[in-house]
Amino acid sequence: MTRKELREAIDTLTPDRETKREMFLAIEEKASKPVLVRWPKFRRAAVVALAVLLLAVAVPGGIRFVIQARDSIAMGGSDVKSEEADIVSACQKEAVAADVNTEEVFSAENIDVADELKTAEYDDGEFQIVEIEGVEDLDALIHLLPEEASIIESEGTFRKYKVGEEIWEIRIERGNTRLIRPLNQ
Amino acid sequence: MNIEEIYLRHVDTIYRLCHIYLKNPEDAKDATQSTFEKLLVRKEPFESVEHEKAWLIVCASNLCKNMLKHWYRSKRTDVEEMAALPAKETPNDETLALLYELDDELRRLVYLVYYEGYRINEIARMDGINESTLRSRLARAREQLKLIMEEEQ
Repeated sequence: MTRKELREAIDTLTPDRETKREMFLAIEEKASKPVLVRWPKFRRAAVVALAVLLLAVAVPGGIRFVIQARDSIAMGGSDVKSEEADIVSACQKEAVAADVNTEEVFSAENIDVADELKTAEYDDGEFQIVEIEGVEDLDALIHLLPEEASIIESEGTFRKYKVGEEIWEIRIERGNTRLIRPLNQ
Repeated sequence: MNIEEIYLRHVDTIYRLCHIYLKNPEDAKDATQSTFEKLLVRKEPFESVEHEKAWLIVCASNLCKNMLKHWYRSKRTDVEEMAALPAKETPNDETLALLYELDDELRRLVYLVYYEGYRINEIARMDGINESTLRSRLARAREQLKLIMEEEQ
């Protein structure tokens, strides 16, 4: 095979005028179309954008995920700080709740103690009497005295207190301890 | 950048190259059109007409390689169509038939060197391949063409 023969053979592949015109018209047609149609990259980008949008809308919490992702990218780990803040505030809330509960427990205990001691309460028309059965202790009912009470007389089985204008007594009688205070008329 | 001017300047070269690669006129037309469509997207101006031609040759070669690799082309066997158009992939020219016996890359190399008049160093620069590799390929192409001719005789 000579180079001349090769050139002549390849010459036969040269497109004729009609083929060239046909190809150019096809290229021109593509060129005249909008960039969106002509440029496949735009189409690909549009498809990806649409897929992201669908993911954001269709998947539960998807849009929130997208927003969180955007915020975390924009703020650089502020999510971690906010999470820490949330944990701290949750702990504080728990601590406050624990205090409240403790107070409640203590007050409940006090009530229980008072209930245990207050075995009987009655009045005879002139005096109000609080009595603890089976206890001989002058200090057993001392907690029921008001703060301003001051002791004015004390014996082995009784004590007298001055509360304002009134005279209150704590007395041991027949194996019981009584607090006796005059009724307000 | 005037597309029409560039097209008229290089369409023959690009079409022939595509034909040599793909071995049929319809695919060659498609590949030629696609090559010039790529030109529409290109924004940077060419340094010279030679640069322009080299860019188009590389672009067309890549497109043809992609088309050859495409699964549809490699798998298709449309018997009826082949029967109706027997001459499509079988050139009447004996020399061309011998050329088509070569591997894809060797055919391209023979075309660029013996028809377009490119030198080995120019093709090496265009393709980013070592000159010695191209020289050995060209020698192999020459050898294969000679062998084929001997077999035919």
